[in-house]
Amino acid sequence: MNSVGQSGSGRYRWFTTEVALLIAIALVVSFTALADNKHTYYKRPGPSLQLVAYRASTLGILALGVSVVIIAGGIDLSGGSTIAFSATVCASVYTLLAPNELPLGASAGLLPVGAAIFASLLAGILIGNLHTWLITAIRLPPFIATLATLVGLRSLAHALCEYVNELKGRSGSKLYVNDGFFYYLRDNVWVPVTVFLVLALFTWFVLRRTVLGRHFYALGGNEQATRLSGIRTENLKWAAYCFSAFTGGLAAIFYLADVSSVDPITLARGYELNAIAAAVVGGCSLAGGVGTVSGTVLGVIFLRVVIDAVAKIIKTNSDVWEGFIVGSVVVLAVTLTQIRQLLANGGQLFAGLRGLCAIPTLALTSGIVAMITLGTRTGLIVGGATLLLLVGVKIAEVRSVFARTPRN
Amino acid sequence: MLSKMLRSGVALLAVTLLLFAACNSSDDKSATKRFVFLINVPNPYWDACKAGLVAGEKEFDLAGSGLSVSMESNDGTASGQIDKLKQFGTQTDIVGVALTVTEPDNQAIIEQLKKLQSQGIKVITVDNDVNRTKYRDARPYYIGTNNFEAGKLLGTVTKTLLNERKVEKGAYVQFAGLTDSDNARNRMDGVKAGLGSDFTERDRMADDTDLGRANDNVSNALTNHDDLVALVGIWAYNGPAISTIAKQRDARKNLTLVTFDADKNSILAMAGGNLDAMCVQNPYEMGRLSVRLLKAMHTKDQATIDELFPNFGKDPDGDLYTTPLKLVYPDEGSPLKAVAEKAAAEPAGPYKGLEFMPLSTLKDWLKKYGLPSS
Repeated sequence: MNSVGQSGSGRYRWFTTEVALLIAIALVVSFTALADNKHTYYKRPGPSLQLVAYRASTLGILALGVSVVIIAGGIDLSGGSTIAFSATVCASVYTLLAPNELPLGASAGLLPVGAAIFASLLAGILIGNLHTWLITAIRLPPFIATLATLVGLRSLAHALCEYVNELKGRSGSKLYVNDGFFYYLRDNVWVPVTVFLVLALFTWFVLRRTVLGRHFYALGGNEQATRLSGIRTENLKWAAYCFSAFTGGLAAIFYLADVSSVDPITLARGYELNAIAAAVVGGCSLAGGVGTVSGTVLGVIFLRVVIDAVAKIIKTNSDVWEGFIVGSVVVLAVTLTQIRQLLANGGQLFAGLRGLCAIPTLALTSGIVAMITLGTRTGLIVGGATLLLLVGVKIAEVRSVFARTPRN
Repeated sequence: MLSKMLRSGVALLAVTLLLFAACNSSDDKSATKRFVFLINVPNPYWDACKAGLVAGEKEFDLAGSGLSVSMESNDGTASGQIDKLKQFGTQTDIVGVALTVTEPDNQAIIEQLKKLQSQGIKVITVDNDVNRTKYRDARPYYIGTNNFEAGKLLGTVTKTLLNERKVEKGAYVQFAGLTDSDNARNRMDGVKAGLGSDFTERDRMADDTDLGRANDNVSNALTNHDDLVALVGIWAYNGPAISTIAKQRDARKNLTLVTFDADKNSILAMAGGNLDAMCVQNPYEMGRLSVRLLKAMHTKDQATIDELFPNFGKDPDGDLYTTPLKLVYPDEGSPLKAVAEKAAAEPAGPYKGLEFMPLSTLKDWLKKYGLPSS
């Protein structure tokens, strides 16, 4: 059982996932500060810091739940839909209990707001219960069980929206929550940040300081062995999936506050993949049994810093490149976290025939990117230069292997 | 034993779900024939259209002719739309289809529309049309907004608002879900034409219909560009995004904020002084008129068709029915009140086709039809 995947020689023991991510975050922030021609990070850091903090907190709340499931050897694909459903439940309860019209900025009071928040969290826990039942009683693979709710929950939330609107004597597939309390959550970034940090601390404590936490790692590492050693694995799965869905219900409150409305079809669409990506970047292994809270927290920060960097550096049409850049940087970050193992094993970047096949793909990609951004001729030059460089690396690797091979 | 019981239980559950689906569709009345209104994805914008369909169903007495109308949606993709159209072709009770086209140049969609027509099913397009220069014969009629003209009118209004604040030059950013969709592109081109060359378009920012990202886009635009004088929301939820972030960033007083459509949160923002103008389309009328036109086509009521499309066959744009636009402005202190009076006195002027109305009038209209937004 190893919580961070720190195998390998002692020489690189200090270079943990967290250290790699801290370096990566520092590099991205420094590069952004230099490359942004407005130098926003120097001149007006406040708005950028607030934006990154709000988004990192809300994504981070979900990612903490997802990472516990991953550590326990499962997968939860329903994060975004859980947020959409819980937010719909939250907005439904609020709509039914609050007065129809409130003065701008006023709050409906403790009962409607408290009940709505409680309902959101309860909806999350119930979704987690459903997942556990599907996985442990019906014996569905976690991928299928959470895929089903990924699809089904949004549809149910949509129907719920229409039903609640009908109850209120109006038509519509969207619910609105314009309440002073939710405005407060939206406008005060310290609230989601504090909730995120407290939740992170709690998760860290459970994983590292309790028997339950050790059992999560054991379950993810080898389920059969865990069961045979007398641990009730089904209870562990229940705890993991309920916690994951609970974090979805908690994040839903902040997503709802952010946009003051629920459109279940679009709210938090695709966020489950962002949360899984953050957990994996943070060192969680999809094979289970490996991962840390600090890694997930840094993974979330890293993702949001990169997204912010794209917007700051590419001033116009940044959405065109955002996906490509974020994807590439995530691969680089995970590679950075794996470098220790690569070095320790004397590993090669382009080992064997498969490595050889990767060379033209990488050269072509860099050439196409350069062609689109800098022109056809430059693209050809960059593509050709990349090809030569990578072939050079391959030759060096082959020579190194030959040099290490003992001769008779 | 347990496994067998579980399997039986799952089978029973599946049958129950199908029965539930059947019960749900049984409120399709006892009509033998029906019209289908196909949208891309469920969206609050279509709620007003649905209300229009319901009103049209009663007003034009579909039940009396053994007809009904229902709204269906696909998954937002062209392939989803093609599948739906194929499915309609296999259902003998469908006699008319109104659809908002996902991709105006998609050959497969065009073929399906032609195929439906060859089967005797009446087809019209609403809100988003096919590429008229190439595929006009894919449908006989279109009902909806002229998006370029709507954008141009909103651009002209924005310029008027800026000039009232003594702002003669500056930059602006436009926000939409997808900047390359047909309606967004036409609207943004229109806004650019309406604002003219004195104002520079800094960016067109897409959020992929992610409302959180819509907020982030506004925040990034304000950080990245110091010379912004206006923000333009192109899709309904962009209005709340620009007003919320401009207020949060304390930038409201230096910006003119305008948007398309009347999202409930845009209405609240305008009431709170955080939005200057809303260009509101009329999806309600699109729904109502679709029912009227499809019924006329089905019952071969040429008089009604001629009334709706008097220039069909005579004018190149005779196959288009342009639904009117509303320009909504705050009840108090808006320079647009004076502009509205001028526009009323000069119907053929630069605001031709635009009905000016104060916010309270729009609220009354929405209340009348039980709609939160339009």
